[in-house]
Amino acid sequence: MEGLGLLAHSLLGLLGPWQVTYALGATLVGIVIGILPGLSATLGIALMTTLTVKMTPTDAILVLVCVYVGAIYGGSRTGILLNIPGTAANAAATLDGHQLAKQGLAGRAMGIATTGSVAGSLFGVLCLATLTPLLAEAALKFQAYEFFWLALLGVLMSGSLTGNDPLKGWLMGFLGLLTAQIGLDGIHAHERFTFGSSDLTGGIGLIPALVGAFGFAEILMVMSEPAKQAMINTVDSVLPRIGDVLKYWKTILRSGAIGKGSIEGMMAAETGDNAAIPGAIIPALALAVPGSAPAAVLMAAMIIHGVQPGPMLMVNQPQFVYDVVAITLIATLCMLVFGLVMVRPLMWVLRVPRAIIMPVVFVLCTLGAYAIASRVFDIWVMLCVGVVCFMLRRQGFPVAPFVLGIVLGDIIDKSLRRGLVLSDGDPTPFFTRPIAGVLAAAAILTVLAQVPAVRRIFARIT
Amino acid sequence: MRPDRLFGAGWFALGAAVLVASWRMDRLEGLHINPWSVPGLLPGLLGALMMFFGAALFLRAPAPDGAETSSAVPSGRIWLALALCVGYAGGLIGHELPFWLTSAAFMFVAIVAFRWLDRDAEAPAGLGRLALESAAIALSASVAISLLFQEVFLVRLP
Repeated sequence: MEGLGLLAHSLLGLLGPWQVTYALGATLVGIVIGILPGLSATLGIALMTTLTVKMTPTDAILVLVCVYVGAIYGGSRTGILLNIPGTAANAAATLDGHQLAKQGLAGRAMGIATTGSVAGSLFGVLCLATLTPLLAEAALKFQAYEFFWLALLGVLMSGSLTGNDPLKGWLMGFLGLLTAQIGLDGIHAHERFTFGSSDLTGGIGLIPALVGAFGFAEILMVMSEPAKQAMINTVDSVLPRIGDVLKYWKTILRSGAIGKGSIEGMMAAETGDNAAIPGAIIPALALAVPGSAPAAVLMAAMIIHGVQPGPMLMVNQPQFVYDVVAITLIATLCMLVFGLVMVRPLMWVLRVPRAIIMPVVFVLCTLGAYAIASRVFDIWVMLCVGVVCFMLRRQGFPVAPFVLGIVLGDIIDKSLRRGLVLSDGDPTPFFTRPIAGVLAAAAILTVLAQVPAVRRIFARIT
Repeated sequence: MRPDRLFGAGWFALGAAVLVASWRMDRLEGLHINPWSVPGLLPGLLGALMMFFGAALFLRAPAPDGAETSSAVPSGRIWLALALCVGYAGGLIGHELPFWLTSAAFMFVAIVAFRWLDRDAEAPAGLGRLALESAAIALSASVAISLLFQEVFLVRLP
C-alpha cells in the first residue's frame, strides 16, 4: 500500500504542464532518433544528458526515459518500411514487419508494433514497480563478493549476447573495464595510467566516451558507405495512412486476435523490445548494474544528478524509484499517442539526406562531449574512443560491452579489493558464499559455454 | 594475415603492456596499506585476461561464415569523414574561434562533400544549388544549436 501511495504521488507530480511538455517533446525526439538509421537510443540519451544537466533530477530522468522508450519504438518504423532496423533492438521485428509492408500491410504491421510496444512497456512497468523494491531489499545482503561477480557477470553476459562473437565481446568488456581504471583509484586515490597528464587524472568521462562509441563511431560507419538509392521512394510506396493504424489497433482491442504466423512473431519481438526497457532499468536502480547500454547512460545521468543507484536507493530515496516507474508509464502513453496519430509525418524525417543529418549530429556530439565539464580534453576523448570503436566495430567487436565495462569498472575494482581485504587475501569467500557462488558459477559457465569442446559435452548430456 | 590474427596479436600485446605496467605500479608500501588493496590488482588481472583471450583469438580456427572478412583498409569516404570531423572537433574547437562560425563552416563543407558523393541517391542538383542549400542549412543549424545550448541550456560554448 505504501508503494501505491508513493506511485500516486509520483504520478501527480509528473502531470504538471512542463512535465507533460517535456515528456511529449522527448518522446518525439526519441522516436525521430529511433527512426533514423545510424542513431541509437544510447546516443540519444547521452546527448540529451548534456542538455538536461540544469534540470531537476526527476525532470531530467523524465526526458531521458522518454527518449529511451521513443527511440526503441521508433526503430521499428524503419525496420517495417525499409527493412533497416532503426536501432539494434528492432532487428527481430524487422524480419516479419517488412514482409507485411511488402504485402501492402504496413498499417497492420505498425499497429502490431504499437500494440506490442505498449503491451511490453506496460508489463515492464509492472515489473519495475514490483521487482525493484524486492531486488533492492535482497541486494542489501550483498557484500563486496556478490557485487564483484554481479558486475563481472553483467560484462560477460553483454559480451556473449551482443555481436556475433562472444570472444570479441568479452575483450571489449575488458577494454571498457580497463578504461575505467584510468585516473585516481577509488580506494587510495593513487594515479593509474595517467602518464603524468593532469587531464587523465580525472579519468575518462562516461558521457564523452559514450558519445564517441555510439555517436562518432556510428557517424563514421554510416558515412563510409554510399547512400542507398530509392530508400525514400520505398517509404512512400509502403507507408500507411493514419486510419490504417487506428483501424487495426481498434480491431486488436476489440477482438484480442493478433493473427497467425509471422504476425505473432512480430508481436513477440516488439513486445520484447519494449519490455526490455524497464527490464534493463530494474537492475540499474536496485543494484547499480545496468541491464543494457542505454540503461548504463541513464544510470550515469542519475549519478550526475546526485541520485546514487544501488540497494541503498530504496532506503534513501524510495520516492525516486516510484518516480522512475511513473515516468516509464508516462513515456509509454506518449509513445502510444505518437504511434497512433503521427505515422506519416514522423516518416518525413527519412526524406532528409543523411549527408545533412550526420554533420549536424556530429556537431551535437562534439558539444555534448564538451558540455558536461566544459573541457576540450573531453572532445579529444570522444574523438579517440570513436576512432578506436569504429575500427574495432568494422572487425566485428561490439561496442555495448565496452560501455558496460566503463560503467562497471569502478564497482568491480573496489569490490575485488574490498573483498580480498575483508578475507585477508583468501579468495574462497568469492566462491563459497551462497549468492556469490551462484553468480561465480554463472559467470564461469557463461565463458565455458562458448568453448566448442564444452558445448559438445553439454549437448551430449542434454 | 587474417584480421582476427592481427587483432588477436594486438590484444595480446596490449594485455602484456597492461600487465607489466600494473606489476610495476606503486604498491604504496610506504603508506602501510593492506597488500590486497594495491591499485594495480584489477588492471593486472585484466591485462592477463586480455592476453589469454587475445591468444585465443589469434589461435582459433577461422570463422566458417567468413564473418571476419571486413576490409581493414579504410576507403576514401572514411578518410574524408575522419579528416573533416577531427579537423573540426580537434583542430578548430577551443582555439578562440566563434563556435557558430566553425560549426557552420564544418557543416557546410561536410554537407556539400557528402551530398556530392551521394548525388546518385538524391534528386540531381547542380553544384551551385547544392552549395547554396548546404550553406543555408549549415548556417541555420549552427545558429540554432549555438542558441539552444547557450541560451536555453546555459552551456558555455567552446
